[in-house]
Amino acid sequence: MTEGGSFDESTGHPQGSSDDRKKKAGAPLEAGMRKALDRAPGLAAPAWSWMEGALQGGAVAAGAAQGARWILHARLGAAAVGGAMVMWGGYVWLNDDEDQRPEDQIIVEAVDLEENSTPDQDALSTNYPVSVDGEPLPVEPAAPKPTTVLPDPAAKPAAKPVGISHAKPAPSASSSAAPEETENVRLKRNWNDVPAEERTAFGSTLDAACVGAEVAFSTTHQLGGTRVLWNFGDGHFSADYTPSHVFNEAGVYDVTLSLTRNADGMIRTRTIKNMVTIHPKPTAGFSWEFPRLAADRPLVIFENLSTEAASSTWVFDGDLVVDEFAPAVEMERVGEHTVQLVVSNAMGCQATLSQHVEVGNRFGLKAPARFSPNGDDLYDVFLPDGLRNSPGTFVLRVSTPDGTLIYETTTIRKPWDGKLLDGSTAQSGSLFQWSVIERYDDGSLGYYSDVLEVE
Amino acid sequence: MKPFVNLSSTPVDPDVLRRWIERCQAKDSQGYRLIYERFAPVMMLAIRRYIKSEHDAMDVLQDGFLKIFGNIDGYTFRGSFEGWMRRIMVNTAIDALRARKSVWLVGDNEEMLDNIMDDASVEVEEPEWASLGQDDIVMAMDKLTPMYRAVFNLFAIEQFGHKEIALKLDISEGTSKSNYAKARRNLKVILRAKLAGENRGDK
Repeated sequence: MTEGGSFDESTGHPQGSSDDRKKKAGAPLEAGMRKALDRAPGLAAPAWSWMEGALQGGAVAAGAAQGARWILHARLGAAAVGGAMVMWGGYVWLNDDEDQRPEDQIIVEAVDLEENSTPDQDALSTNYPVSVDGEPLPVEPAAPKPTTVLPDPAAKPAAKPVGISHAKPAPSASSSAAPEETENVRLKRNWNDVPAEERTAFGSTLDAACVGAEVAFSTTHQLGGTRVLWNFGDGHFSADYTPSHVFNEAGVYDVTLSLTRNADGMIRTRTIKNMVTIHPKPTAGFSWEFPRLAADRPLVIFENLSTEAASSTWVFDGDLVVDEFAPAVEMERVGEHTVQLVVSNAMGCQATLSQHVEVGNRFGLKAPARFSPNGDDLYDVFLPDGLRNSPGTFVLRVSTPDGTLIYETTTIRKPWDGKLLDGSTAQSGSLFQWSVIERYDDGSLGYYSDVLEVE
Repeated sequence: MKPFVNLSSTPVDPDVLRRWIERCQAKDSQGYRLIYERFAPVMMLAIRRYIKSEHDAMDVLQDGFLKIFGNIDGYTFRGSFEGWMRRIMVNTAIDALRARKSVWLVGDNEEMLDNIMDDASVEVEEPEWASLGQDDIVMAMDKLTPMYRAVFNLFAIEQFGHKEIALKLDISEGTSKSNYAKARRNLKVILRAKLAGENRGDK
């Protein structure tokens, strides 16, 4: 970028001031300062995270796409709080008071096969505490309102869309007749008399994980005389009491536990909506470019093509570690460089990719160290021999030692004839820097660079 | 071993830059990041030529990048992208200065050009100005008043005409010219001393 601090028309700079400009263009102080500033590296600037925060604040008048992306990041971040890989998901009591259950969390589908719609049975099995946050509620059978901690007090019994077959008919059969009677029955009920399968809740070791993680499920109570069936919500089931399951696709899964009492065949089923969130695994990907410079060492600019990556760590030749998102590195050593990228998502799940970056000198391309553009038909032009049967495409650039590009070619039919920018022929004894970027059929790149002397 | 090049001092490959910009235009936050990380240092340098306080400069940097990213759809790949960005940054810096009028007004007077020595009338040889470091330039700028600094930068570095500068800064054209001449004279003294000091130090 050599615009030298000036603005051309396309930047909207108004015309009409060229006199002023011309007058000062030659002034040594101004010209010198512009030159100095042009190649200045710049001052320390705050890290990207600082800028990203401002962007997330919604200050940019931009579309929804980026907003959604950032919200997603925020969600991932929240899910990873603590980063603990062992944490218990929500417990839901199989046997709760369905009138009080939070609508969005629990669906009750309990079916009493044999004693369907018997009023006392209903009363007996519908007044136990519920917890949805993993902390079992104190068991106080005498308490008339043990469910006040539930987050959805607004839920009204009449509005319940999901029926419970053995509980619902009670109010419909005798709603006006016996509200006190129901209350009395509740008070008589002793929690310890309730069978384990009615009291148990279930949970998982993880409520958020990445694809491929193993999630273990269990119940709070030992279940005897009961068959279990877990439905993991992804088409997989288990009849184990404490199963482990690997989710192979990202998504939010509802997990259902069904208990069948051997003695009477009664089935109780409970689903925890959104019980396990499986995040996509990150993938590591990167490519690199050799910028259009004829330098003695290649500046390699990496592009980060990873997905779902919250952080990126690069390891160069096994010992140099960089946490930049997309670093630029000068490869000092001729030869093969190993570049490894490790990315992690907000859940801490990682992916790794290793690739080789090849850096060559003149020997790698069978390039001469000198040539003599004097018209004697001997070594009059410069072209590395290795390019003559190169399988891919290439670009050869020649520049002066101070980096000014003087020749560029992409075909072996146009080698460098030693002509400089002003049309004159390079002086004997002068030195030039050349570089070749080769692109092979598989898309990979090769970089070669060396010094060339004019004889 | 310091294998990391500060990319700010080397050009970005035009093809690579185009892809970065296109990613920004597609609202890809990674594109924003690439642009920011690559250009923030040079933009910071541009801002610091106008604004002395590093803290205020950071505010301008942030505001400027928000404007850049918010308007990047309007960049049509004609002309230098870096120049386009710097123009936005400089305008943002000027706006910030104007917002703080009390500081701004210092040095704003209507004195006419009074026998400012022309380069030709100076006997001493011109030093190698291009060998100045960015820190020297920022240091020298910091010694000027905000108005001198702004006028000098707009004219000498950004290469605006005095008419435009007068409009931008809400001063008269004469003030712009006189401030420029004085700023230039002061800068020369400061920078000449700086360069001379370094040369002596070398020997």
